Amino acid sequence: MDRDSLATAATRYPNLQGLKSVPIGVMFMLAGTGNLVWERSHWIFPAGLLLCVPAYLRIGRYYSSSFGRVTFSRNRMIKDLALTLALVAVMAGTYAVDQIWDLPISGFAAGFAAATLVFTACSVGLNSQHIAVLGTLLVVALLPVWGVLSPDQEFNVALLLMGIATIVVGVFDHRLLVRTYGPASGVGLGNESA
Amino acid sequence: MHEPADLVVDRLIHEPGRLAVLTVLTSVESTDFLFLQRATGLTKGNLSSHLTKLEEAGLVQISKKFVHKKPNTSVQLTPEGKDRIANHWKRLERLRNFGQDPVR
Repeated sequence: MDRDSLATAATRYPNLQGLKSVPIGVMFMLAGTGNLVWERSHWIFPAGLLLCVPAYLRIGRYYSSSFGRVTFSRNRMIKDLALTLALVAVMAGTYAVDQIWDLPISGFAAGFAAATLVFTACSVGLNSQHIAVLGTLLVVALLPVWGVLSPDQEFNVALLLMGIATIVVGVFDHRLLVRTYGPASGVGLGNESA
Repeated sequence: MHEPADLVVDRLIHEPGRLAVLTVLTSVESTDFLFLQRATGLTKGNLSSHLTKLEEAGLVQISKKFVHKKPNTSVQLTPEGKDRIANHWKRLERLRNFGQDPVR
């Protein structure tokens, strides 16, 4: 029995619910491709939200019914909220930087990759898949090739890449969850006759 | 033979299944039965029996409710449970160090 893995089992659990990242990644991709392909069709994003929010909630219920529920202390919830707000602030800040200065890199995608790496390191801890996927996004975002795109195109291509990275990281996290706790339909599991 | 008081382990907690349950609970406000099963790898019957013993000793508090029309058993450490498990791990650390220290 390993004390550390037991003590951190519950704290790591929400971050390993990787399938929740799929609707978020799809939203990024829809926003990016919607703007690029359909030239600012304003119905794409709300329509995506209508599909992705219920999907996110349904995936949350799948995890609760298959792997269980965990309730955290108020301090932990405040810490998570602070990290999420910091991530949003970094994205907003880097978006503003991209709009003000015409840099040959994508500050928005680089900021997202770096902030997500820090967020992951502070919460679930980084593993090789996180470093590979988010590190690749960070390197691509810092390549001085983005100057050939207009600021709008740059933002939307960045959203597309961020969506792909979010989905891939999520799938890896879910696989780690299943490896750690067993398949979703384990035998003899449940709350009913507890 | 008498053992030094701070080197005596708490036998109720020291059982591997119960130690695992209490250790998982140290980092959260509460978890449900299913998550404890997943995290500890215990069978339903085993976990249920350990939880009953821990509840009788006043180390955990068990509450049952319905979530989405399904029964859900929620478990949380009591203040006494928090103290006992923290002291138990400290004691185990001391025991480990005691075994490693050279005899003077």
